[in-house]
Amino acid sequence: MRLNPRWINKLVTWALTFQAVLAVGILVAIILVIFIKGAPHVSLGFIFSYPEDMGRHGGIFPSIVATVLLGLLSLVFATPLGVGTAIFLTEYTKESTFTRIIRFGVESLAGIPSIIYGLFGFIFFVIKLGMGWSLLSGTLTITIMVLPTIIRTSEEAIKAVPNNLRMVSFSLGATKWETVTRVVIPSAMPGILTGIMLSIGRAVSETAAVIFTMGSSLRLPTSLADSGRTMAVHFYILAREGISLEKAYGTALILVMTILIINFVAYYLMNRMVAKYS
Amino acid sequence: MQASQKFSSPALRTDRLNLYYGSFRALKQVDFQVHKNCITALIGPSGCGKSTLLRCFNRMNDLVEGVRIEGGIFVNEVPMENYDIIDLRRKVGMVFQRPNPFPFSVYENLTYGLHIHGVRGNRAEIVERCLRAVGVWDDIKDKLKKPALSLSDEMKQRLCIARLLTIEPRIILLDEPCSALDPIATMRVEELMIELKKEYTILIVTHNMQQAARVSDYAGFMLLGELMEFGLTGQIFTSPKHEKTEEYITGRFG
Repeated sequence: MRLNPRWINKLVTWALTFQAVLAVGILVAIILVIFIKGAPHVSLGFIFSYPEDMGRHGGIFPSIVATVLLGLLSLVFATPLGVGTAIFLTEYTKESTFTRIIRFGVESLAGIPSIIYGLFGFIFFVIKLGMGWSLLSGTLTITIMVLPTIIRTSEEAIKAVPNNLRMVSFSLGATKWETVTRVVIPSAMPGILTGIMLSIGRAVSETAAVIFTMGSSLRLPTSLADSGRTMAVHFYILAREGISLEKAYGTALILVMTILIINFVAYYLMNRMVAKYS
Repeated sequence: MQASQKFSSPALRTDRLNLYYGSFRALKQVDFQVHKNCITALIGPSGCGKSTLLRCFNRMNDLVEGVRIEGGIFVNEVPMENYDIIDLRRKVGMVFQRPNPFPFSVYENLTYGLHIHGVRGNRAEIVERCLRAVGVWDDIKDKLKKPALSLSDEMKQRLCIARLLTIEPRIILLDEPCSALDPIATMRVEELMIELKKEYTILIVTHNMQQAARVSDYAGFMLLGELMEFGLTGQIFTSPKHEKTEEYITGRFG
């Protein structure tokens, strides 16, 4: 017996709609739970004051600062390195064993669990290079961790730039470097930004790698050599050690809001760029 | 006018030019010339080497892997080897088959070449002059901030020509510039070419026989990498010397 194709079509439409709703629904549910549990404990005071008694009371100001610093500094290191590698791989070399090895390395890096990065950062930056538990150790570790994401997304974005744009740039007398910086990178910018935003998200929400390298001091980090406790780490410690579930949810809410804000800003920037040029 | 042109030195010339893509010989012993302030058309079936020949003059073939060139190429009677590639490409500009504006604003497209060559002076004025030269100033002057990709295909192609004019080339290579345009737009771009030849030397590759007949002063017919016949367009189209030329222009093959 053959099923009626129109009937199958209807069924598939419904099934796919359901899946899409489910995917978004889960996200909404998570945010709702965190909002409902966290909102009563969040206030301006919570955001702008220091924690007391290991976080049982007071706010999370130093953690917010630590999180923002870690996110931004990792990007400052990872973006040039990652985009540079992507440019090298796509524009400055031909496909060869060498590029395949680099690409394989990058892909392998992407698959390593973050705690391994933490361990490496601890052994190498914290102990071997004597940086101690510090913002710098944490930043460098996160930089290595997010590099594969930035390299891969940038590479895809650069590859997607139509080749005739390079040709016309050369035909106008531009050098390779001028073509890369003035045509290829601007055209690939939305894609590159996506990678950067994904990376910020990872940096801001990372716990395992950060605990090992940046420590969990509750003080306000004021230099690269200072230890600090990011919001994700703070949440982990508050919840894990049963210090204060209320404060944990409050922290989670601020963390989620931070990530949402970053995503909105990124989305806005990207749309503006896309709208400007197409 | 054309009689006198014959005696002035050619803008572009090749001397027994051979070009190989790896082991494939794409151009065979080509002796060819393009006269100043004339439109010269290259016709011939697909794969005959006409685009390859065109791209020799601004060294775009360099970007293809495994290309080898034998014989002489001269720009204003100076051998190709004596040119710095950037100066050469500034002097010998190219317009591509598909309109290819950068995904920037109209204005940024037009100032790209100026940035590259560090041209000082009033950029807005240069932009206006070049847009007027391609006949779109009145249509486009309020859209300078708009994305170039939002223009129609004809406008895009004109913009690409204007973008080229900003860097003041002497010679313009057109690689099937109208193949992505409708007949009306094609006609208008042809009128533009005739307008441009007062100041520029033009070499055009075209699949469109009528186009070659309409716009060009000289025409060359290529087949399988050889320049079969070259001469005044009128003569090529009315009394071709070569049997193959006649067969091609009368539509018996190609």
